Amino acid sequence: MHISNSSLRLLKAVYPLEAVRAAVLSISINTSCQIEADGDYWIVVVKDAKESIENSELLRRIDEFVLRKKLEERFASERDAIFSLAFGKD
Amino acid sequence: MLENQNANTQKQSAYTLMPFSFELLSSGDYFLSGLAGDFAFLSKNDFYALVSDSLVIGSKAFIELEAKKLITRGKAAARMMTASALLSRKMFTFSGPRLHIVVMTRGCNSHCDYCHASSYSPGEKAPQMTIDIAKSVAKAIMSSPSREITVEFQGGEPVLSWDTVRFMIEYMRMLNIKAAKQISFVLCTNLLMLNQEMVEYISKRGIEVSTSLDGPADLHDRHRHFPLASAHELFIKNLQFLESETSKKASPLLTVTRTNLFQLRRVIDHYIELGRNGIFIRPLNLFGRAALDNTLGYSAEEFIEAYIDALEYILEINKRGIEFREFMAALLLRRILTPFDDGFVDLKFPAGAGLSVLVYDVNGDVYPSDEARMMAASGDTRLKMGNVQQMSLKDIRNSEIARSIFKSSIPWLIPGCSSCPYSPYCGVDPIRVYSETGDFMPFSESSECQKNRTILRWLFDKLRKADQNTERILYSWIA
Amino acid sequence: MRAEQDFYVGKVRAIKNGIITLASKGASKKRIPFSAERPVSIENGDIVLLTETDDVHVLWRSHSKDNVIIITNACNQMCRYCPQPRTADTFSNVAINRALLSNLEKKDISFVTITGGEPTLMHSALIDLLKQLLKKNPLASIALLTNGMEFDDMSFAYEIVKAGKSQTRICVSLHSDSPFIHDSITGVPGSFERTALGLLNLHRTGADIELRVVLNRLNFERLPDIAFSIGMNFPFVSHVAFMGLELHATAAYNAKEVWVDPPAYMNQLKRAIYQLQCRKIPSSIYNLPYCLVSKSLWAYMRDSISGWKKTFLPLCDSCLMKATCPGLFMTSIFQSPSIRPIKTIL
Repeated sequence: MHISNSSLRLLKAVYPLEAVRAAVLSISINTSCQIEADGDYWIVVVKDAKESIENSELLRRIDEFVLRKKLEERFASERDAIFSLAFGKD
Repeated sequence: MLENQNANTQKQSAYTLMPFSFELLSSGDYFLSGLAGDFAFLSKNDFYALVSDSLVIGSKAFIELEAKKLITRGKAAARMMTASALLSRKMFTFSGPRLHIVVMTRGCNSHCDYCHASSYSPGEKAPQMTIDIAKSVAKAIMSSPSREITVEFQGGEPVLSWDTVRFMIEYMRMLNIKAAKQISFVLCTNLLMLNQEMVEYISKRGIEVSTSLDGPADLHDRHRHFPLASAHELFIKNLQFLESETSKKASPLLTVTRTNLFQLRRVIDHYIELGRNGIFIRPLNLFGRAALDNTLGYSAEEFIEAYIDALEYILEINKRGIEFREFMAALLLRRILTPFDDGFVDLKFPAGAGLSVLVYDVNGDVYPSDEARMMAASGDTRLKMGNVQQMSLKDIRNSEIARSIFKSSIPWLIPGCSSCPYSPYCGVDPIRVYSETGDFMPFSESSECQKNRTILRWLFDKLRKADQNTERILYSWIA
Repeated sequence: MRAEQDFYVGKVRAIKNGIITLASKGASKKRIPFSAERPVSIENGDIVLLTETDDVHVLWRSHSKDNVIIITNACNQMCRYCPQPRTADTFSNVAINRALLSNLEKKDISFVTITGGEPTLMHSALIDLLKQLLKKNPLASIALLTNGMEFDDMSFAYEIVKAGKSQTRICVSLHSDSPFIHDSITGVPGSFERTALGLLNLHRTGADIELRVVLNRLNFERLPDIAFSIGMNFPFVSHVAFMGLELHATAAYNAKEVWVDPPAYMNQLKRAIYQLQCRKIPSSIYNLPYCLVSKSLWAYMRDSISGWKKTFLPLCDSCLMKATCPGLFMTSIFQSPSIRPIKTIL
């Protein structure tokens, strides 16, 4: 079992807590992740990850999660328009 | 680093993004798909440009994305086309159950180590469907709103109830004079008990035969046991007997166990020797007898590796000029390359169980899938939808169970699936999830999901990198 | 029939002793001398237009499957490779067509193509024309050539499909799967959008639809993508026609931009046609000669160039396939340098 001791310092304004948690969980369900608040930052410590994970990859996953959330909000009305065109008033 | 993520601030853009999901591939490129299955590959830079609204109009990436309706300058056409394709894929949701699996008897003439469908030994007296119940089942089936109906006779071994099978077919044909549906019949049989009269009737009524072949004799007979002879030898003999009389070729499917998992190439060679034009490589269902035996099972990773090796082998065979396809891969390719629905109910969003397929047990009880029926046989009757002699099909379809399954299989509501770019081509089986977790809600860390995603990734990669010859072969599989 | 304008439209009743006799509904017979200056091919039963300056134009050829009714010269696009000279409509166009129609009998109208310019610009006149043709011959096969934009109006689509019944095939030009490239070819921003909506509307009203893709330098690289897009977005079409280029008028003017030697796109064309075949969408190749088309695609070729437009090069005389070859456009300003006689079919 690989142990990763990634530790990151992330700006709270840019990286919401749920994004961080979701990204860490995407590594594996059993990954232990400690997130502490430090002023404007989160300190994220990842241990016991199923795969050995680089800081850059962890950061990338957090970024991706944030992007997905933003796109989801952006797409919401267009999706609804397409659904109602396709399925009627479903 | 994903900089410039001002996807939230809608800049005054010359084009709009249409809804899509994405993932980063191991190659470093991005894979995107739209709501209705339009897809594209993008370099990292192009992807960043896309999500930061800074694509250059007329650039290669712009042209490709606009052609795929992932971005658009006008709204109406892209919307209409996407909606149209989406409806085409999901039409089955509104059509009513199309596949009706009828269990004629719990008895069987063989004993297969991995079987989940019969717990009776050959020769043992087992419950059979009575004529009375057969009539009720037939009437229920005909009351389905679907214009196209497929009736699949299963068991145990349905030919043990051959008279009832014949009765049902004739009875439904009579009912259909008024209903005017397109009905097709499938007989799922091990072909070990076949006589002239059966063969003539099968030919006369154009019945499709679905059967099992696990490989050459040593592999087939290892787990499929017929008391009187080598199952394989008798199977081959009867297959040839059947095909000498009928015009339709039987398509055998392969049940993968640990025994043949690492010898799939041998199995494929055997299928080709027998003049088959394809194979359906079906992973083991961990139920019934199979659950009792650890020597049969294997991990998802093991299956995926062997399956992909088999696909590579089949591609090589095609390159030598032999027409041969794997039916599951062909089905997925059709989902990738066309906007059409197919009859494969086990992998759909929303789930086919209870919606597109119904299973009628020997006593007229109705289940959303075969697995649900088998779970009931093992004691968990929560999944029973009703009984044809007590309820109308309409009420059966509206049962609590059916609605729970439906609600748990809407891709846009399942975390993991809602952001997965493979969801337009994929599906779930909440019954399978229930059997593993006690809950209907699928989860993306399941081995099912892992398997489906890996296979779809492989197919997309093959399509993307295909030279002209490979492209021809892949396209020939959807025809 | 004599209208206010000074022209005469009549049917050829006799060609004898160097004199063509024309008869017309509601007007007197005319006799015109048959000389070397007259068009060479005039046959009995043809319908001919005689202008006041004594020019003779054949409006309709009896026994031909290639008859065309040009309902307007106006167009709402400016395609880079349009082979139709851009001229203004004259009031006599409508009158001439009326006269033509009145001289047509049931047996004359087996096959007719309605084109322009852009015929759908004529709205109610087009609807009338369809109705009249089918009134004369309910079994007529009609092809309507269009860019499809006007069909983004659902009620118009409905009216046309109703008038054309099951006898009319609506042939819509599609230049690319990419709206960007399609619009740059038509010269009209938003044209792809309108055509796509038009196609969806036509499908909803039950029309019989064909797509026409003109093969040229601007779109040949994406031919397989075009096939893919048709399969995903317009899988309901009955047929796809891949058309060789007629290097005439605007096309000739833009030759450098639009012309590409057909052998250069054969691979892409093969891929596109095979894709469509696997999707069960039939396709054909129009307007190309055998020597420029890969042998594996010969089965898809159609003899589509109108007899009176068709020509061959002198070197074609020694070609084994000449007798059934679709030939070349007489109207093209130049021909492919790759044309050569086929000496062996192996």
